[in-house]
Amino acid sequence: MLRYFFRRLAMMGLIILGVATFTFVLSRALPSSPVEMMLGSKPSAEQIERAKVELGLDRPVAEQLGRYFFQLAQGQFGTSLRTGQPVIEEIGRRLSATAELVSLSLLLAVTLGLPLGILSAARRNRWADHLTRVLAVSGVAVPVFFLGILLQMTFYGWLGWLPLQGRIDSNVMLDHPVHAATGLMLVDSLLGGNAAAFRSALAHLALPTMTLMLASLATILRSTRKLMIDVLGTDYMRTARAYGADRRTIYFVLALKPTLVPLLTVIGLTYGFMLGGSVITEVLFDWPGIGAYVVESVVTNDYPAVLGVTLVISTLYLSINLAVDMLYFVLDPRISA
Amino acid sequence: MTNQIFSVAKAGTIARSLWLALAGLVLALSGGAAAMAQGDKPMVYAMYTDIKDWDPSIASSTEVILLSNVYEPLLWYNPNGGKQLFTPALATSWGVSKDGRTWTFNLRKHVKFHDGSRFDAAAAKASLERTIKLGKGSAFIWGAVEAVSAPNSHTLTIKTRIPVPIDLIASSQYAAYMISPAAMEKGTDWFNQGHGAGTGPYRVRQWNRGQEVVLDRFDEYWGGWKPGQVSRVTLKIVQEAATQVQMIRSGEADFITLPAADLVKTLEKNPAISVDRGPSWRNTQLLLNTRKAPTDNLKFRQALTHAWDYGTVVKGIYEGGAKLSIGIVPATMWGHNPQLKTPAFDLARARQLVESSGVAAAERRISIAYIGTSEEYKNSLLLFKSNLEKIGVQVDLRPGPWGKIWDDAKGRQNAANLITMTWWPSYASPSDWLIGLFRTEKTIDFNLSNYANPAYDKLVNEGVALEGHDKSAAAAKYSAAQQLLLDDAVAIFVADLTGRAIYRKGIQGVALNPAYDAVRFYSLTR
Repeated sequence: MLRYFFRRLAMMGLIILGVATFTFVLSRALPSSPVEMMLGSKPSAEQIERAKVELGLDRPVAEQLGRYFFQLAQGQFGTSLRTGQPVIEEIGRRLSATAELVSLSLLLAVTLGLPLGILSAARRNRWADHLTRVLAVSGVAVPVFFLGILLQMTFYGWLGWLPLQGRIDSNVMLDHPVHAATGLMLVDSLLGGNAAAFRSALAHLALPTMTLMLASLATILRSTRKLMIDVLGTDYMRTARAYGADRRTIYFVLALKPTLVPLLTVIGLTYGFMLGGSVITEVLFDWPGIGAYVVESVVTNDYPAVLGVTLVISTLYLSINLAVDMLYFVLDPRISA
Repeated sequence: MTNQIFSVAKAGTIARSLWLALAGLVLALSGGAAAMAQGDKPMVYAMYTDIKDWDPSIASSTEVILLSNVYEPLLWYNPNGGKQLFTPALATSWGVSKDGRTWTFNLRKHVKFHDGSRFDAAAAKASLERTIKLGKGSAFIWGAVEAVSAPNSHTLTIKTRIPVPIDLIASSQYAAYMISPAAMEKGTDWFNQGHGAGTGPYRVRQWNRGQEVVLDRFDEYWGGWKPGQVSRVTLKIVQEAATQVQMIRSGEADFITLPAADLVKTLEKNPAISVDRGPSWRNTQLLLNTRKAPTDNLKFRQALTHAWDYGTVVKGIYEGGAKLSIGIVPATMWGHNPQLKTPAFDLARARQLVESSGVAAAERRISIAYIGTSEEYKNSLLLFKSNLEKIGVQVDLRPGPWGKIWDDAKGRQNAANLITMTWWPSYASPSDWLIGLFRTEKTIDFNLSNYANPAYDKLVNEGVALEGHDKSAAAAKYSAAQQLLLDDAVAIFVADLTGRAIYRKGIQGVALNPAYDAVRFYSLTR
């Protein structure tokens, strides 16, 4: 198992190196120069030339790539051309905001998707199955931006229950400042015993979480259903039924356990995808996360930020994948044999 | 089986706990919503992007909303129609020597920076010298300055190499702010951590990156405070127009900035919302590349200026958000001349010019690059394309981001024949358009028409030298220069855009000032 782990780790390193090189070369091949964008609305030709020299953009691409890897080896991603802030700090800050949103959404999606998937499989082709199918298909079919706006109009515009956008109320932040320990607003406010900030953060999380959760619910629900149906059709399930095992044991223990391994892959990959794919939700709710950061960086050709985010997201995606694969050993002893 | 039953029971407990947690969440949220409705509400200004450059010597973009409330220049430019051209800010009086090269500003006394230090001539001198030395952002506006001196604690002298209007330059929305010397010592990195140290009515209280900037009133502001004025301002980042609209409808936002023309029309009908329209210095034009075939041909270019349906574009596409341009200097700026001889929409004349241009029928094809996200650009260019096709000119429309359009236009190979441009000046001078867009450039920066006419350059340079002490003589030079642009058909002058402010009714004191893309919260009450 350990040998497998180290082999996968080495492969991961190679992939990341490839991603870094590919993204770097691609960023240099883009038609427009990013420098003009960083210099304000009307930079002079001299200012542009000076900035290109300062950033080393006048050097050959191979030399720039060498410098970039040297910088990476020192744990630096450079400075964002758009915001003027160190990329690594911005990614750290924004990634925690995204992680909070995505984790909560996924937790909810799993909490709802698993039992509904099991229900759907158990009541196959009956009204409960059709109902959950409608729910799942709607979640996928309705575009995220439309779903988000619909929720905003209902819970903010019509009912007035929930805040529209942002991560926390500014008055709460002024009167009850949250000291960042983990970067997760809910955790940090709990750690500091800050009830007002916790409530406000939770209220602000509600709508984007619901939007993102509904979009990923279908994947988990339908995967659970499909896997359960496959397992429920096996001989040993028929044997279990013949022995008189009750329904709860059949569905939640005997059938669920073998579905967990492939399901874990689905959940892990969904999590990895959501980390980089929550762009629309973040923009819609002005959530200061990594998705919105990517969009702004790509649009302005802020290549240090684009490279940094690409590396971090791909590393995270690969790490989650690896962690899921390692969990197989725990969940299914046959694999380690 | 016991273990399995235990597992089932445990799974059931976990599921129940999760559902209980969900119920708790709903309860907690209603508490959160209740908490939202309480407490003093700050003035909320919804802006679409975060503050990028916090350094007032460098910032030259959307930061003006922050700069003009936290910092002050020597003079504020008054909106057109004001009795005087300027309102004293940190200078109480000023004058210029007979040769137009030495400007003296008497500075306001008893003024403090937000960090407690005193504003005086040494601080003013240091502010200007730092901005000039850094040479970033809009620092070029001080290009003619030879020396800055502080003969005594409240007198500032600015000497220039040639006569230039330092009073206008000192009222610029960028690169003209007075900064605390202690803050300047800390450097740009300190500013970019979300700090500020000006003399303005508001100080920076908090910056929640990517979310908002909170400004609190500066109690020791030299102008003093009256009841009803705004004590706290939140500059909130709201990227979506639809979200901004919901916020102003509900009263959560007091000002919004994004909505397109059709949404503004809907908002105007809302009794709780005011939409003010007023002067702006922004205008839109199509720059014609004079070096690239077939627009290197004068008659062909003139034909294009007659094929543009000026009236329909302004009335039907900008829908009250713009007025017809007459020349490059907008009607809201001094130096504008409504008597200029401008081309009219006339397809018969356009066809005649195309036919007599000498451009072969097979080569009558042009490319137009425009910012793809603008509905106004897209619709007016579709109309233009349709008209041009009627006179046998084929059009290739190339939507794209500004960065690419600009980069392509600066080169030869990928440059389009026409590109869209929206321009506004760095300070209140017609020369900003005339120099920035059309004066000969060795390395192309914004003269994207590639226009090079020594007669034009001479007129503009003479106008600049006159601006400081004889504005009417300068205006005459600028009129002659503009007529050259029209005769040489280097651009299609499309529209002077109208400024607008969208805010909640009940807010008093909102005044549109074309010189500043911002709201001065100190002037407001509610």
